[in-house]
Amino acid sequence: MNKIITFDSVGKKYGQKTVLSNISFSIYEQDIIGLLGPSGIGKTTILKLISGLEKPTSGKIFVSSKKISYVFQEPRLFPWKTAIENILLPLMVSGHSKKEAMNIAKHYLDSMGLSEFMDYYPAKLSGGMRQRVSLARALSLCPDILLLDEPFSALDSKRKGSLVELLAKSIEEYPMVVLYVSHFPEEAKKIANKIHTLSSKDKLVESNL
Amino acid sequence: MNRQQVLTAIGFMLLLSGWQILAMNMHQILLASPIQAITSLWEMLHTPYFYDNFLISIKRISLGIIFGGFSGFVFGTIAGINQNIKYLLDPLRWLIMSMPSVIIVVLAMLWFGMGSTMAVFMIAVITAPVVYVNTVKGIEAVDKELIEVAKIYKFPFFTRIKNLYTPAIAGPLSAAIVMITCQGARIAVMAELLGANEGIGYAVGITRSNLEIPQLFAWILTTLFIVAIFEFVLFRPIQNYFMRWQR
Repeated sequence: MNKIITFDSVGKKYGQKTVLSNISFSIYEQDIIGLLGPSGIGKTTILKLISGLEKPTSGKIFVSSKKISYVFQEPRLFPWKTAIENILLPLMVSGHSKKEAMNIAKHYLDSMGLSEFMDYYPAKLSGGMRQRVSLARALSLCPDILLLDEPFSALDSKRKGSLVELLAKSIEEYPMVVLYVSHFPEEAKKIANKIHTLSSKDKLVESNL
Repeated sequence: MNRQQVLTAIGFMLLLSGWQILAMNMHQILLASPIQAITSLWEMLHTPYFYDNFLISIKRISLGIIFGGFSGFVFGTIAGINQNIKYLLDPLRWLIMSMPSVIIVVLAMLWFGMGSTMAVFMIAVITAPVVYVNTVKGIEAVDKELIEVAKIYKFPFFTRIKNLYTPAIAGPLSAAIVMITCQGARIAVMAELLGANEGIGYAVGITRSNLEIPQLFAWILTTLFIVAIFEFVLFRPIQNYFMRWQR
């Protein structure tokens, strides 16, 4: 299997504070990784390094694809754009015509059960709905790498369960490399086929499910 | 009428009443009453002299605001995104904002002579820093989390300007535009008073020389009318359009 992401002795410091030190691991095609570990250990930093939002202080990172989608803890929707416009914009930037983008956006909003709310501004949507729009935005791009940073942490357990199922179904339909950051092993295991546990800033343990 | 409109109407009536009371207690050579000013304006409306001066001032104010607003927005956007440019432009911004308007009038008259170019230049130079500062502050306050989203989805520069920065700064920018409209009208009148031979400011100078106090106040009302047109007919609908997501 091809390596999609490689961390080679990667370290990251913010000022004097070391967040990651000498971390090495590889992620392969069709890996769905549940990235576990206590709060503040550096899980989000790993995602930010993969996405290019942060640069490593030491070591090397290899990412084979630039087609990356990222679902953050908060929905991070543009408040001045409607639900569908939030999905349309990245699609059009990625090269889709307006008509194509519209069809794709409608399909994903529909799959998230939001077709009735496509013209709503984020402020008019509930927290769960906003996070579903954010997920639809990420999935609609059919990324090679999907980064999920505790995307459902702010939701109640019932909503969380249904969104995890929805996500698992989407990944099944369109295979991609997924990194799913969570505090909860059981939640991660519903989606992941491998678990990586970051137990300290310099120790990442890999295990297959 | 909603509560806001009722209170605004009451404030307007209080202002008019205060003006009337003051006029009743002052000599008419110092202050015309609202009725005298409105009557005088009505008479002026029937003369081509009014429209010649009114239209030339409108043209100067519009051009000055367009040049000042546009350059303030462009440089403010660049400086908001790039700190180095901001530091480079800071001395110029400080120089223009600190210089008394009357000195800019004198310099503009020296460089461009009397007339429209001088007035437009003045309005543009004085209003541009207001838009510039509001744009820079607005861009610096743009949600960093949304900037990360734009990076993740690889928005090109102009897509970021159009879809991220411009809507994010629409609030402070509209406030700045309303401010420069009022400022622009005041500067135009001052520039015309000191260095033009047509326009509202020029007409104000003539009425002052001839001690035609009701006409002087009629021109003041005309200036307020111009600001009201810009603010309520032009900019408020644009502001409402850009801020519709907040309703």
